Amino acid sequence: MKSIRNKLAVATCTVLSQGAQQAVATESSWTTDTSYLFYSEADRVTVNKIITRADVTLGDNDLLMLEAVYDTITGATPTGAVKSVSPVSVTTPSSGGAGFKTTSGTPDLVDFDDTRLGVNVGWTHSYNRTFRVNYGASISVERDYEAYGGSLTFDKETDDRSLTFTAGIAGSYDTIMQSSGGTPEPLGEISANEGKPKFFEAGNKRGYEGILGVSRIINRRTVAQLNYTIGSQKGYLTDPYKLISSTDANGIEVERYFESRPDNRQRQTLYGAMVHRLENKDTIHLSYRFYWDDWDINSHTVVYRHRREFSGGSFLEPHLRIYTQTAAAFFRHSLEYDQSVPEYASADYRLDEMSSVTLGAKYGLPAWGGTLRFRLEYLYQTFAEAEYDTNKAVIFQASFKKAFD
Amino acid sequence: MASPCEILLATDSRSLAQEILLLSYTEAKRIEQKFSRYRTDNCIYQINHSNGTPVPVDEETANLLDFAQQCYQLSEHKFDITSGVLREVWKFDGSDNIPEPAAVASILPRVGWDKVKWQRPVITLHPGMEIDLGGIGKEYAVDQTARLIFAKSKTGALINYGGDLFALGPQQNGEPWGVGVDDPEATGANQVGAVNLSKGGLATSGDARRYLLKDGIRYSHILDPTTGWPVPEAPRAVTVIANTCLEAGMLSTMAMLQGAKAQSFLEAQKVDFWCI
Repeated sequence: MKSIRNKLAVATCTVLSQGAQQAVATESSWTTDTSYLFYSEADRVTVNKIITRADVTLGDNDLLMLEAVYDTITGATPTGAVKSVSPVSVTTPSSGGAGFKTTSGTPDLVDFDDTRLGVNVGWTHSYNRTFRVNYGASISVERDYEAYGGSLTFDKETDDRSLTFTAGIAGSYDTIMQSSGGTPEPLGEISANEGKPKFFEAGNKRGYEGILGVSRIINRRTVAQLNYTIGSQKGYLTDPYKLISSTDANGIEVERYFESRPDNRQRQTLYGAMVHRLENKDTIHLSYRFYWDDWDINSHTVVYRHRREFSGGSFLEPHLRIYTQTAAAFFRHSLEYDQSVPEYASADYRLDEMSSVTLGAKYGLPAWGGTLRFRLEYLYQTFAEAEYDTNKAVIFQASFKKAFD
Repeated sequence: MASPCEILLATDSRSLAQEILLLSYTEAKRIEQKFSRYRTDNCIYQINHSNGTPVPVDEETANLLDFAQQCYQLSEHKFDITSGVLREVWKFDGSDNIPEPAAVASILPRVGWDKVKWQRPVITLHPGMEIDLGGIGKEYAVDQTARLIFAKSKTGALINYGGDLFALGPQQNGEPWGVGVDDPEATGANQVGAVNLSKGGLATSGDARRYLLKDGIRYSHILDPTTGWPVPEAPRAVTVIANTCLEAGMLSTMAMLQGAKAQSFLEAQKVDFWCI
């Protein structure tokens, strides 16, 4: 049989060397991501948040992350006090304008009007091909809360990069007060001393956390991850705005107290997640988180996300989140007026037995040389004993991400 | 490209790897979008829906059409980018649905590069005819990507787009890249050969899962455009090593089209090959 190889080689060489109109592709060393988030509870709190983030690649081995968060919170949130017909006098800020005052006639709700500015920075350095370290720091400031945090995370990959081990530590220091400046006496009566209850200076709390994790590439389509976190908080863990009522046998409020929580909390979390790419190129994400602490709160969180990519670069990603938690040991709907006051008590709905469902979707599409994303969610929470036994919220987020040369 | 695409790089530099990956991804995507017959926004769609009117094409498309024409001549009219319409009657789904000879014959007037009027840069197809660069595109993308990577960096690399490969220099330790040749009967599970590749192209033709079986006769999915019927006794898979991926791909495809003579065709080309 005759050889066509030389002729074919010439033809191949011709078509390849004439080449293509070459696509222009350059290294991206800057990525910015800016988003606006709107969270609104029915008849209660509204949060407007702007987050802007930049990721900067510096040479081969360094990645810098800068993030700024600005949010405003307005509206009413339950104080923990029972709904009462006749308002009792409540503490008001002595100066500084808004910040905290009870809604007229409904002392079971407290109005918020505060702004927060947060800054996060991170630096990831690769010491070699399979070992990198992330250094992180954060500051967040609002009128009645300041938070400072730092973290150190080590990532080690196996040579074939199918397995990554993570170990990290983090610490935080927070200062908490009412916007008027101090923190109320725990379980002090708010009507004491002719409506001038005893206040202390601002509270402080320290937090420590350790994390151990492993992530494994199971096959071309599947990645699995397992994390264990242990942490402890010490100091002023009470919420200076939360109240608890004492009531008579008919549930009518007799007196109102500031809440009181233990000054120590040990927390642990086990988290497992799996990402799998289906034959039809959809991606599914399934995660489960188990949390438990020594306040007797146990919680389970299951999240399912399903992402479908469309031609042209757009995607749709519906998601479902289911959450349940048990109540804290010292959670009470209210105190009984003729019983002695316990050492710790809180009527904060967030410490109640609770279940919540979040249903939403994210949609992304290419725009203006970047990616535009929209997220819409509906949150429904039910509480076992709290004075306000449901909460509904809508969350909307719009983000734009773009890479620069 | 409707298949897994993989690039292995012999480098410690994350930024270089990212740069090369982005470069490769952009190029592969560009070629896929420009030449895929599954899209409605490219020149292939325009040509296939021109209904007999002349369509001018750009430089790169013209080069590929010139190349397809040369392959048509070199293969004695067996490699033909107009043969795709035969799929209207041939569905290779592992069943015994052999089409009626009359049905096959009714398609043939719409098959044949010799019926196409190609005068660079204008192509004119008869109504009902179609062209498909699928038999060239993936290998072409591999070679073009290799060219771009080489222009950017002299780092060793192995480009693998769905089993069509090109090696640009060895691994970091100087060893060639080890490439397994799949057993067509057990794709991914069993290998019938192994190649050490540090420079050059490698391509495989044939898909063991696409065939028809009737009365004990196996009809391969390799169709002879001159008859409209499957090439008898075609190998199940042919793997060829050559200077470029495109050349390897053409040699393996043309070998398949030779049917029982695939082995002797490949021997005459004096290339390294596996014929199963």
